Amino acid sequence: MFSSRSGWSNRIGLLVALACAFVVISARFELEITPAALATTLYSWALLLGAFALLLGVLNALWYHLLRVQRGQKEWLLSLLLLIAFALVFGAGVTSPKGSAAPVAEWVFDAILAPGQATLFALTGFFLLSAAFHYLRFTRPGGLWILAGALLMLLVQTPASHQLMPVALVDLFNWLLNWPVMAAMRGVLLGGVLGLLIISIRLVARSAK
Amino acid sequence: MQMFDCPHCGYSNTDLARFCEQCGTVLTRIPPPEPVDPAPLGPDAAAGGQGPETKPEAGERAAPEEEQGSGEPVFGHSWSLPPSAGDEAGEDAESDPSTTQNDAQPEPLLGELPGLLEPADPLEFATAGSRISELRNEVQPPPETVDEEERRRLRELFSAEFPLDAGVAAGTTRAAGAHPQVGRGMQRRFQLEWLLLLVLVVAYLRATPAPPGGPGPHPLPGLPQAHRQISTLPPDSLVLVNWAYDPATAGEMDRVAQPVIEHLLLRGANLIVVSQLPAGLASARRLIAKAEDAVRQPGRSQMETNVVIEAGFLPGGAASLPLLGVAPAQTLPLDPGWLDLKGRFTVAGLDKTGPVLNLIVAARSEDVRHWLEQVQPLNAGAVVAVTSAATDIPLRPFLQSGQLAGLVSGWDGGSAYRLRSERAAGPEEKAVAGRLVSGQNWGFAILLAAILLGNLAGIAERRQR
Repeated sequence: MFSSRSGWSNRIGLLVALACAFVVISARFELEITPAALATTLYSWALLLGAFALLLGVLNALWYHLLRVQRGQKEWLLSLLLLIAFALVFGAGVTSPKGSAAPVAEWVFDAILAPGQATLFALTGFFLLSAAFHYLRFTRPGGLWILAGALLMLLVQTPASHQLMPVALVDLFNWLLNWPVMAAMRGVLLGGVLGLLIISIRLVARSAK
Repeated sequence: MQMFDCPHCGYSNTDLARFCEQCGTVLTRIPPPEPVDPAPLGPDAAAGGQGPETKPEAGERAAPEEEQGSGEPVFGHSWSLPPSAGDEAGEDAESDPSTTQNDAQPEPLLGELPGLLEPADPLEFATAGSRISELRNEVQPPPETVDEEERRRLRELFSAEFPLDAGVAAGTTRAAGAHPQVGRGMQRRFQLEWLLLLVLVVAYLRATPAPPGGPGPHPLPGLPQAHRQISTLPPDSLVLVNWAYDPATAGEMDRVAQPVIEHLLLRGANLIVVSQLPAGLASARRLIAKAEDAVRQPGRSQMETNVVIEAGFLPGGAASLPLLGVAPAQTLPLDPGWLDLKGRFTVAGLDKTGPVLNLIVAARSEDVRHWLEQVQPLNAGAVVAVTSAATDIPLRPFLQSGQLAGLVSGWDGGSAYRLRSERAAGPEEKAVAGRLVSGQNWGFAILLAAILLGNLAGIAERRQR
């Protein structure tokens, strides 16, 4: 992972990370080993780092698209459009006393961003339809179980089927949700957190070598 | 300008590009391979996946044209070797005195696709002057044998459907002409499935008929708690709102969020709205304005009775949330002129008292989970989540454990919340709700048709085989 750096720089970085983790854990468990203000300072540094990373990301994107335009690479016009949009919104936000609520920024949001995002997200419906066509088949291994579950969820939650559903089926649906599905969800949550913990420990142990 | 083809998608990138402009693959320049001595290369090349009778000599690789074209995963490489074949090959290498120690080194499973779980290689952490660096010099890495074509096949293997046919062990070749679906394992026996279907049909036929008008939607377990939580708020309560959705999901989320925001405004709560999405605050601004218009009554200006503060965009993801729990006044990027607003409250006071209620308006369960992990233990405020329908199930464990004080999910959750609120829906809102219901019914019908057609197509394909 850090093969390009020397062993000492790895260890110093690791020590700093471990010290931060110790301060934060101590504050979280109210152990009062380290002053609480120290943890608050670390939290604020994380916030600053986040903001700085965002700025770096913006600069990187700008530089990348500037190069594309400069070299006339494929679809450079789209890059130019991005740069113009950036300059417009950034300029409007900086120059207007209303900041991000400046009229130009609001117009960009209403006329471009909101419809664009909504349109892209609406494509999910087509993906769902394609997945339903290809994968909800009882001829596939275990497919009937998945199909039955999907149909049950769809039937119970669709307004038109409320008129047709017997109470027992709705009860079955609720039982499924409250017992097996909930058990699986808890398992996923616990498993995910334990996995993350083990990966973290492994990463630290590996870096300490 | 020299061009460089992406090994993943084949797109021609400029020679300076570090990532593929089409698919984002890291473009690693691999120097042209030096001529390799056709002498033994070790066990990796030894197993051609063709059984002991046809196993090629050590060092001989199957020709690419032989490996392609069959449409089935080829088990002729180190990463796809079954353990027995690998062991056998290893034994061959040990017994062959001409095979060097380097050749016997097993090739990493995913050498060029680093993952967090791959085993650590101690040699990777060698420093100058250490004993381990001497070892590195002694043990030379095996020559680069994973070429681009092999990587491509590896990706194909991982993207291919998992071979679930029983009776054919992984890593073994099938008989020529045998179909992958042909097996005698549990997956191909339909008894359990038919039993399930029968139970469902009997349950449907014998079940208690629905009351007039149908049984209605499934119960929304966190909704009464959420309503109670807001109804019991004293006037001028500080409510910290995390607005975690943007226009992409506003079609659903606006329907859920508006009744809850209206309820908060009617209770005279002071809302401090913060968002971690760049377009989150603009979405919040629009919906809150709509809610203020809806609850405004003649002779009463809602803005005079409520304070809604846009606390700004909070970068940094989950890492920046703990500060919001410990010292919200430090975190919120407020205009200093707003810090003391109309004498109603000061944001600085938020550090002392903390918010009475945390409201998370989110389209994804992660945003609620991060808040419950990073903020709620620090500010100890009750948390009510207003979410999309898809988020309902992942959040129910938190509701059952009491970490969530209330949950309103999906547009039907929003409709059910509206029925409890003081303000009844107007004709326009009813018309919108009617269109939503109609749309959902049509969507269900189309999905049902797709499922039916897919199954018919599946049956037809099986018959053709």
